[in-house]
Amino acid sequence: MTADTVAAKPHKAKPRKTGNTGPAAWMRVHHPLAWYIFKRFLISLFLVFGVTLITFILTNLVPANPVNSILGEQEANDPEAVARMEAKLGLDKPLYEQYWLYLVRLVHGDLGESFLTKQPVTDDLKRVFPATLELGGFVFIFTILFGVLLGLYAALHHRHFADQLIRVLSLGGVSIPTFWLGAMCYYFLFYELGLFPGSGRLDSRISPPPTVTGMYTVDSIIAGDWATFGNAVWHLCLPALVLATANLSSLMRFVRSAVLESMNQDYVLAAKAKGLPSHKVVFGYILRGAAVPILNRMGLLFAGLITGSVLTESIFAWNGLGQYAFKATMALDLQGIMGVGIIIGVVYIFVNFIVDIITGFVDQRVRIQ
Amino acid sequence: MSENTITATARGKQPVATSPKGDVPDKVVRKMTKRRFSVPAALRTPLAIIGLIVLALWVLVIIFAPLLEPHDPLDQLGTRLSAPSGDYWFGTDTLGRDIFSRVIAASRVSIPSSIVLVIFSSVIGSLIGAMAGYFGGWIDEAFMRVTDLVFAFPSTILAMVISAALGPSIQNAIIAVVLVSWPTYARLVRSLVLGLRNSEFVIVGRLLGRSSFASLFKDILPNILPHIFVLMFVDLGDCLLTLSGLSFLGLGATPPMPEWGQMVSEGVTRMTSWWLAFFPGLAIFTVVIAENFVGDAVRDWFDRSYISGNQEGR
Repeated sequence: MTADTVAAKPHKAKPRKTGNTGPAAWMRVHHPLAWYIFKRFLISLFLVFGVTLITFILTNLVPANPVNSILGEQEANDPEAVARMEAKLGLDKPLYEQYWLYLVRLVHGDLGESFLTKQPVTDDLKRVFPATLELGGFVFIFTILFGVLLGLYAALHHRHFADQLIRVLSLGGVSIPTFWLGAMCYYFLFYELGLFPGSGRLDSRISPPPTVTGMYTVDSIIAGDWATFGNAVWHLCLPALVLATANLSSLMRFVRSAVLESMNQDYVLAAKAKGLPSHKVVFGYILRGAAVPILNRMGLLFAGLITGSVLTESIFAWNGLGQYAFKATMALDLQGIMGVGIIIGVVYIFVNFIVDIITGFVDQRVRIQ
Repeated sequence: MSENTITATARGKQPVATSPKGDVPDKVVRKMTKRRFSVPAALRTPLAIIGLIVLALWVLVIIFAPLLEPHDPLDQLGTRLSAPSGDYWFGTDTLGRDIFSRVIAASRVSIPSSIVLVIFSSVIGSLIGAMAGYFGGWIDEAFMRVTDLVFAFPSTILAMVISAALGPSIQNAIIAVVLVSWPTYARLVRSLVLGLRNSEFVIVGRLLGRSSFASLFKDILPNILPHIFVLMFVDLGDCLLTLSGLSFLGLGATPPMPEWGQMVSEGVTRMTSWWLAFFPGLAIFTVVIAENFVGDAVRDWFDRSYISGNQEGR
């Protein structure tokens, strides 16, 4: 982990040129925070561009023939129909031109049509993304709350019983295969005991609330429908439990080691020596010192929750982004895969950008790097 | 009291210290100064010992797998979906095959493939990271931007797409996970090489006429190898999880070959018979948790002895 954070801020071997003037240098000196955010923004733009390039290359490497799968067998034998379809999809053009056309369509919000669902990919994503955001957001809040508290507690009681217990639990949590935990929860908590519903986002007898955000819990609160809200939360429980186990465990371990690192700093010793009450030392000095790595980790966690729930979603038939990605992949639905790739890449980059900005506010040192 | 101990130690050391040759036979000196090997304290914790025992048991299982299987793992025995019993310890699956034998047979697929996977991704990642760190400049920029891009994709989905594109088989699943897991090594090795690149012994080596290639591989690499090994060890459990996750999705081992993740997915389609999914998953869990227990201890020991320079209280 420490290696990651070190590598994330590349070491500049050459000394910075001195005496250069111009708007960039002026910004750097007089508005370091704005300059820092601007730089991060440029890097994010570059990454978004790279994500489009990667998805484009990946989908071109897939040895599947989209024309044949769209046309069906009879028409695929007709060379004229194939040529017409290729012209329609732009497949007769050279690759770089295809990429350019793809970018142009992308800027207009057109991700093409999925040949699995026969609908525009943008519409599909609008439908599945809120489901994943709901599950991921729920788990994120839960994980942050307990992960930071338990990690902090373990670090403050370093080498004591609580620390050892948390260590064993978190090692166990990261070692459980998600799909196995999901299957066992499904079997024991749903099938045997019937404590929680096993699949889907709502009971089949309940109709979803009017769509505002697409997240059933939020929408049902907006509609004032508390029965639906309760049912949606009840359906969230099992997938959230499964998804939270590994994430909570790894966050706990990370917070523990970050806090241990920051506890050994001299300013913490100084704060203690001044006679500050312990809660001030813990929250004002120790936790603040550990804030930057923890923030970075939270960003990774959130992006991971939004994107990495394929296994959980497939067990609980949670009709979200992970399920959609899985179905598109298995059917080699290129437009669908590209759409998922783009949205995931953009979410990841956006979250990192936000984390970078927060880091810029919390830790002034990063601004001048 | 304190005076006494000082004289005692002084007297104890005297023969060795003041008589380089002659008085005391070499044999005795060698015996007294010999470094005795002792297992580091960090590796003597209960967790590490449990982990080591479990891992050792699994190694034995892999070696003696054919002897331990009570039935043929591919043989359809007739009694389908029978619950665990004296004859079939872990029950039988939908085709009437003995799950205990299949779990044992699968250890020869799952564990070695995760080891192969870690070796490949560490070699590729380390080479890229070392080149980026050592040569710097545009090579560094190019490699690191590629690393960033691979990081910008969630590993599960990227691995899923790659192995779907290559076609489902255990080899392709390994290739897919290697392609998503090398950046971790690249970042670690790059930062380590950056730290060593300008140290005196490397510069002296270059001045004495070492080529950049020799300098990188003979001077720098031996110093960072332990770090790579520790990361490989810590990474092993994660790789097994990702790989069996792919198999679970139907993108890894193909059906007749027993593989843990794939066996769990067979069980999920038949939730009325819990033993189908329970035992293969338990096998994955025991391997990964044992590996993590040992990995945690190894990292602790390593951090203390190499990085923090024997800091107390950590």
